[in-house]
Amino acid sequence: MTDMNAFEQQLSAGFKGLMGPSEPVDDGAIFTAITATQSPAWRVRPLFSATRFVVAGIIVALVGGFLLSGVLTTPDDDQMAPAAVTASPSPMTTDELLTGMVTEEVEPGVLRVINDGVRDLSSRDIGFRSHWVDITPDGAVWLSGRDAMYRLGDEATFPVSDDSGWPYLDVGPDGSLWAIAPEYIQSFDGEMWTERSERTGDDLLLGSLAIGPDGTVWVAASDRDKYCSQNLADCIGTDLMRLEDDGSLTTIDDWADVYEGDVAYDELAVSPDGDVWLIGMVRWSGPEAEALLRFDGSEWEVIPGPEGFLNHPMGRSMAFGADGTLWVNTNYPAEDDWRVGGLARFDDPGWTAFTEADGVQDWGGESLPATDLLEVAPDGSLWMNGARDGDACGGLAHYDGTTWTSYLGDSCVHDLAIAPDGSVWVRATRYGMDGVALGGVDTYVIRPEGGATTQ
Amino acid sequence: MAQTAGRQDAGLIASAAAGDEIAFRRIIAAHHDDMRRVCQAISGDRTIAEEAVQAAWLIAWKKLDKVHGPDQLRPWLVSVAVNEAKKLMTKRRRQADHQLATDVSGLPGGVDPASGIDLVDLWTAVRRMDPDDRALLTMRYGMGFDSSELAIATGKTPAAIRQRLKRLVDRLREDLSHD
Repeated sequence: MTDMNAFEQQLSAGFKGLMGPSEPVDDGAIFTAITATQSPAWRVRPLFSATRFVVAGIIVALVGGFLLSGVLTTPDDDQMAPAAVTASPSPMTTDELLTGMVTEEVEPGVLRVINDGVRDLSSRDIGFRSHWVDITPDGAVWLSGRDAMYRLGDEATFPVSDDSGWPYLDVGPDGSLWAIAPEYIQSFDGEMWTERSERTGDDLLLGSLAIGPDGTVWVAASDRDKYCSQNLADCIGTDLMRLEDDGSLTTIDDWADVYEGDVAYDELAVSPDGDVWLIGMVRWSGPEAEALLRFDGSEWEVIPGPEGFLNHPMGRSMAFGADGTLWVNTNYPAEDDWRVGGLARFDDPGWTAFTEADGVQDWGGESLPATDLLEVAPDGSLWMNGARDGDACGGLAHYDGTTWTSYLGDSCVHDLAIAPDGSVWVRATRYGMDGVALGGVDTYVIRPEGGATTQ
Repeated sequence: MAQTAGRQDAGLIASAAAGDEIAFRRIIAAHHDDMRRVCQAISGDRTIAEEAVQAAWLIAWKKLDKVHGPDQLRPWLVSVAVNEAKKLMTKRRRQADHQLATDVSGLPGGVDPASGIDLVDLWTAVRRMDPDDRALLTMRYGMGFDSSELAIATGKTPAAIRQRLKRLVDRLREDLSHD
C-alpha cells in the first residue's frame, strides 16, 4: 500500500480521534469475565466424560451405539469453524476418564484398564510396534492398534486411512491429531483421517513426525531398502521433510554442509521455540561424533554433547520440558566408561549429565537405562521406558532428579504419554516370572503421587 | 537461545489456543484496547464497543487455534471484534429503532489540532457509510493496517481493498470539504 498523502494523514489523525484515547487493560478481569460468562454451549463438549458415559450408555441401549460419537458445538459458525479434534481449555481429569472403566491394580499405583475400548484384536500381537498412546489438550486418551485408532472407553473406531498400517500419532498445537503412514501424512478431524501430503513413493518411507508450536509438520524419511527392516518404528531417518500448505513435502537435507558423511537419526522433535532437533548417530561414513543437530529454519548447527556422552553412545530419545529444557537419553554406554551414559539436560549453552551418582539406576543389571521413549511431566520430572538388548522391555521409570522409581517390571513399554493432570498413560505388554506374556498389549495408567494434580 | 518476536508470538498463540490462561491474558493485554477503540470508532458507542470486544474474546478463547501465524493475530482479532460490533449495531437498531451514534457530545468540537479535521464533521460523514466501509477506514487509518492485514481482516484481495479505499477517501474528501 502506498504512503499516505496529506489528506490521508489528516484522516489517520482524525480516525485516531474517533477511536478515543488508549486506556489501561485489566486482562485478568477480562479473562475472568470470559470464563464466568462462558455457557456450556460455548465449550467444545468432551467426546467422553463420566456423566456423558452414563447418559450415552442409556441412549445406546435404546437406539444403538451410534450416538456416542461426540459433537463439536459451535454456536457461532459464521466465524471460522474449528477443525481441531479438541480445543477445550478444561481438560478431562483422570478421575473423569476412569469413571465407568474397569481397572485392576497390577502393582502399587499402577492400574490396568481392562475395558480400554481397543477392539483391534490383531493389535494384541506382541512385539509389533503399533501401540501408540497420545493425549489431546482436552485430556482425551487416544490409542492405536495396527489398523485403527480408538478413544479410551469410547465405542467408536477410527480406521486409519488406506494402507497406512502404523499410525505414528502426534498432537498439533491446536489439538489436531496427525499420523504418518509409510508414504504420506494424514490428519484426523474428529471423525475420519484425511490424507494431507503427497505420496513419497515406494523408495522413501516416513518414520517419525513432530509438529512445531506454529503447526508446522515435520517428518523424518528413510530409504526403505537401506535403513528399514520390517518395523517402521525402527527406521532411522535420512531426510528431514516439511509439509507445505499445498501438501508437498520439502526436503531439508543440507546438513551435509555442517556434517560430513551420512547422518541418520532416531528421533526428531520440535522445541517450544520452533527449532527442529535431530538426535541419533552417524553410521557408515563420516565422523563418529555428536549426533545432535538443531535446525532453526535456515541453518543447521551441531550441538556438541558432554565429553564422552554423545560420542560413541548414541542419543536415542529426547524430550522438551515446558520451559524449553531439552533432555536426552543415550542408548549405550561408552566403551571405556559405561557410567558416562544416562540422562543429560541441555540448558543452552551447557549440558548437565545425570549418572548413577545422581540416582539414575542401572537398568536390569546389564546396561545403563537405555530408552527410546522419554517424556517430561508437567512438574519437570522424567518418565521413560527401558530398552534393553534392543527391546523396549525394561519396564517404566520415573526420575525427578534425585529419586528413581521403577514400574511394571520387565514389561515391554510400547508408548507412553502424560496427561495435563500429570497422569502417565502407558501401552505395554507385561510378562510373568516365567517370561510368558500376561495377555497382550494393555493400557495402564499411573496417577500422580497421592492423586494430586501437578499443574 | 536466540528467539525472534515472531516465534515468541507463535508460541504464545499456540499456548493460548491450548488453554494457557497466562498466554491468553498476554494476548488480551496486547490487543484489547485496539479492538475496543476500533469498535468505538465504528459504532460511536462505548457500550457497544465494550460488549463487542467482550464477545470477541469469547470467540477468540474458543477459536484461537484457527490463527495460523502471528501475522494473522491482530487483524483476525480486530475483524472478530468488528463483526461483533456490527451485529450489536444491527440488533440495537431492530430493538429500538435506534439511530446509532447521533450523539456526538463525546467528541471535541471544532477542528482537531492533530488532524486539522473537525471530528464531529468526520463522524457525521463516516456514520453515513456502510459499517463495513467504516471498519475498513478505521482499520486502515486508525489502526494503520497494511494491505495484507486488511486482506486478512476483510477476506478481500489487496487490489479490491485499495480500490475501495480510494473511493471512500475521495468521498470523505468531498464530504468534508462541503461540511
